Amino acid sequence: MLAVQDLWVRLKPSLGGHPIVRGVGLQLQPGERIAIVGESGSGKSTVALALLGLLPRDVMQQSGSLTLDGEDLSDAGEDDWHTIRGRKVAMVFQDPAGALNPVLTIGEQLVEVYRAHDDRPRAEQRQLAVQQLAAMGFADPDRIIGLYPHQMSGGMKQRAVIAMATALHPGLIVADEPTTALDPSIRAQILALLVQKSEADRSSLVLVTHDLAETVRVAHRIAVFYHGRMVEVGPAERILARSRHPYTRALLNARPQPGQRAGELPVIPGRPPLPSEQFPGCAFAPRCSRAGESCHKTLPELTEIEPNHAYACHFPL
Amino acid sequence: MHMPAISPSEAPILDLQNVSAGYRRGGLLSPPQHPVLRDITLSVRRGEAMGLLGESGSGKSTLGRVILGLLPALSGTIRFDGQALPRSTGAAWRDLRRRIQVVFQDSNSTLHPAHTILWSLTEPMRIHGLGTPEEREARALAMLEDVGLEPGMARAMPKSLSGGQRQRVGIARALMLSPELIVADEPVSALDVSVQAQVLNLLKSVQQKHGLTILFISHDMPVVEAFCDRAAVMAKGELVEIGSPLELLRDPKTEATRRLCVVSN
Repeated sequence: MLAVQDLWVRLKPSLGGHPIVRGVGLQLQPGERIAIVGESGSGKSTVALALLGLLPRDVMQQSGSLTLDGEDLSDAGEDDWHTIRGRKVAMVFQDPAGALNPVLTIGEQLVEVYRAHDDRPRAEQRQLAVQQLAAMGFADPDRIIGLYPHQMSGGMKQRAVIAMATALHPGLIVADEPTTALDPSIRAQILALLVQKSEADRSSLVLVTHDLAETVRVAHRIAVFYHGRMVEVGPAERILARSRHPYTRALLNARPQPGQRAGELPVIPGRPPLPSEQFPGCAFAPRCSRAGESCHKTLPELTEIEPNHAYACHFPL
Repeated sequence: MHMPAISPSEAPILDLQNVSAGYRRGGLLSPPQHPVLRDITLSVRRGEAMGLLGESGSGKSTLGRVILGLLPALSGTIRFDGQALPRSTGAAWRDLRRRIQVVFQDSNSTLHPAHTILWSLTEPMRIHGLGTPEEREARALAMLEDVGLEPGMARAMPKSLSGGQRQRVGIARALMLSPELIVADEPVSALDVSVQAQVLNLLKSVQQKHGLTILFISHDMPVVEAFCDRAAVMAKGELVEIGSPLELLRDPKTEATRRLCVVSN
């Protein structure tokens, strides 16, 4: 189980000291899948890095608590994280090529994962690697195991990355925009694979994405981020069908619908705020058609108003 | 079906007949080993917004490069306003470059990081030796207004701009030479979702005001559906289907089109 409480991430004072993540809380049961949705500057990727112990410590400072399976990781150092990553927490990033070593075959890299964490005979590790690739939907794992990354398509590479990330059955998978660099038709397959792995291992999944539509097939819950805060969180169907925060609704309506014409598309005015900007009230208020005086003055707290459905808005939909 | 405000006239502004292109390996006499585009025939009417849809590697951006004269066609003919485009990329292209402009996915690449927005906006006119400094500045300010930016933006540096503002400047820069055709290569793909509709609306209003023909290259079916009058689907270097975007969406005839539609739920 993952529990995050009052997570703040700030730039170092010498770099301005402004917060990038502003008091985020999150609880995830084993096997539960949540999507973190937001635009640039929302802090969504910074949360993902914090969950992986990958915040650049020379640039950012973190406060709040982070526990995984009862273990307090709030003050874990780089050495601690080294053993946690791979075994307990897995990561899948946007660019699969960057996660693979170009001069080693997929098999060599996968065997390396097993070897780093246990001392089975090499032949047995290779057998595990073949099985793991088969579980990733590769029809011919014996051939794939001998391929180099440059011999594979983007979708195949991302499958190989997921094979490595989940080889040791970690309890938590953090996937940051895992499909953004892939062709649209491949995206659904990669998401399905993540769901399948999470179900097989009963591992929790945090899917970080800018695309609210792609969360449908994946997540039990959706958390919407804006300006470093969680502004709405709830069951996925409920968020998609009956979101209460105007920003969530605006995101849902932002993509052109069939029959809508450019020139007359509904727009959200302005742009997503930068982390360095300050708002006494709600950060979305300057762009919000429902905003009243109180929105510009008082920060709305994230409050559970309906069961399992919380939102931070003075004038919800 | 939607009709654009400026009705496209029948004479094509851009006409491609059996165009093939590729990247040669080795000397000029060696055959192209990998033709990236094969036998493309496509006609674009004046004032039309024509979508060019495809997955990565389909050849859609390569076709854009050929039309911009950045990559010579190996065979076939391309006519712009009735005139065959020269095969060489030399002086013969000078006048055409004025009439055919481009908007990239990230306009950062067209903005000089150490100069003001005004400098980058007026650069195309300087290169073409057009106008006095005062005329160039006046034109830049007018184009900034057309893309919905404050005149004060002219004095700003590129790094102070948001993604949406940069893309507006990229569009303003493409307009500086009063082009007839704009090749827009994934013009909103790099933008935040909540900003995309603003830029799509803007590009459409600019198209109508300036009577532009736009070749809109994208992998994003909903965006093409909203912006384009017609769209051509490319796969593996070939043009496989062409029609109104709504037709493509509702009744895809090829696997390539179907793949592009799947994602748009």
